[in-house]
Amino acid sequence: MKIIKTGMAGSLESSDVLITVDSNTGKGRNISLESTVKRQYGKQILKVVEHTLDLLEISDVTVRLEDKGALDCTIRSRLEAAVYRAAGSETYPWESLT
Amino acid sequence: MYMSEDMFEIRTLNLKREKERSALEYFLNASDLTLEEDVDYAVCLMDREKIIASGCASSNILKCIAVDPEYQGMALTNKIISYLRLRGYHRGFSSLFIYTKPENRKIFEDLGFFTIALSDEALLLENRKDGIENYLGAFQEESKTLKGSTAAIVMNCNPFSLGHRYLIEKACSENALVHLFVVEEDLSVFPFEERIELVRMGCEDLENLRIHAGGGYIISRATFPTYFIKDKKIVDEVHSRLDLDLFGSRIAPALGITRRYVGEEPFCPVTASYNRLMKSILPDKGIEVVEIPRKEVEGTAVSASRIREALVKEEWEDLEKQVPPATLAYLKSEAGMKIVQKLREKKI
Repeated sequence: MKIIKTGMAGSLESSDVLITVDSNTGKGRNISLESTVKRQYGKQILKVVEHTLDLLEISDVTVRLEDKGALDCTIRSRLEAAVYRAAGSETYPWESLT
Repeated sequence: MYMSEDMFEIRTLNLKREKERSALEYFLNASDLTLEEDVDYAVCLMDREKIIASGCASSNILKCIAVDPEYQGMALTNKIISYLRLRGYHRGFSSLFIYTKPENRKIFEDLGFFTIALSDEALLLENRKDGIENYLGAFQEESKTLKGSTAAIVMNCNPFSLGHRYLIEKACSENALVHLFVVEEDLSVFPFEERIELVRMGCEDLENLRIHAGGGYIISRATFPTYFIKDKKIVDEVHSRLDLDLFGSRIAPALGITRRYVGEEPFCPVTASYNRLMKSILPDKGIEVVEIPRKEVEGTAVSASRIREALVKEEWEDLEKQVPPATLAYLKSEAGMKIVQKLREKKI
């Protein structure tokens, strides 16, 4: 999938994460993480992000996460939503991800 | 009583409705804030029919963010900011700004904002870290290899006159490179696109001049919120200090600017005091302030306000002496006449 514009999903409320996805054409993945639990779960969060991007087959992207302690499933679904919005996709093939 | 944040309803206000507007005004006043005229979006958290938290926006500037003291400590600001951020995204803004008091720095930095300018009384934040680098990056290259001095001018050009031209020419003749920032905020009579276009046409022959849109970083006085300080005089100074900090600490070093040119200000007291502040702040940051006396036409200094007055009276002969040909042609065009109309209405 190709990122063509900015996509955003989530919120800054407790146990949620606000994710902004942008294009980064030809420059790989640029992921930045701010989290209230970065010290404890930073690596795990990034693992979820990388894995989700792999499944979506996205190689060039800028992702910004502002995490307020979201669970893995929340991070994954927020990221999927932000990516689909950023790709201008009208269809959401959720099932292919499970 | 136990209170949970889920008990509160989030509601977008219709500010055109007197009842909703005055409820918000009343709420803000209690927090020492006022509802500004330019606010075009307001979202509130309600405890039944009572406003307990609010957040507003005027295009991409967030303002009037407040939480009822009784409801603080429940992360209601997070909720408000989330809504404002999502709304900014849907409106297509690439970045959002907040002006606030310095003591709120931690709150907003925890909500994904980054400080871009700070003075003793005010703070400006943006929701991205690299915003200013991106903005300046495009015209940074040239400065690196340049020999000789680089100067900057900030102008509104409402509209572009021979006075502006005179100042720009002078700067161009005394420096290797000149960056001209045209204030982008569209609160002047002449729309930004047309203001900058007239500058471009009027300066085509100046090879060492670079014309830039002021963007969000050249703060215009008009956008500066008066809401957190009630005394207008202090506001002007607060604004000026913040603007000069941003210019002196971020913009000038990135572009190697060592001089800033300004026109002497014989008319407007606000601009005159801004110039005074500039002279007290910028030299400490290694920037020389060069004040140029106004160009005079028949014994009177050229000024945009004088031009606008002549326009209202349609004194074309007088205008001809004050503006370059491109500006004159524009003023005489259909678009120009519309502005004359607008100016007249304002007068009444």
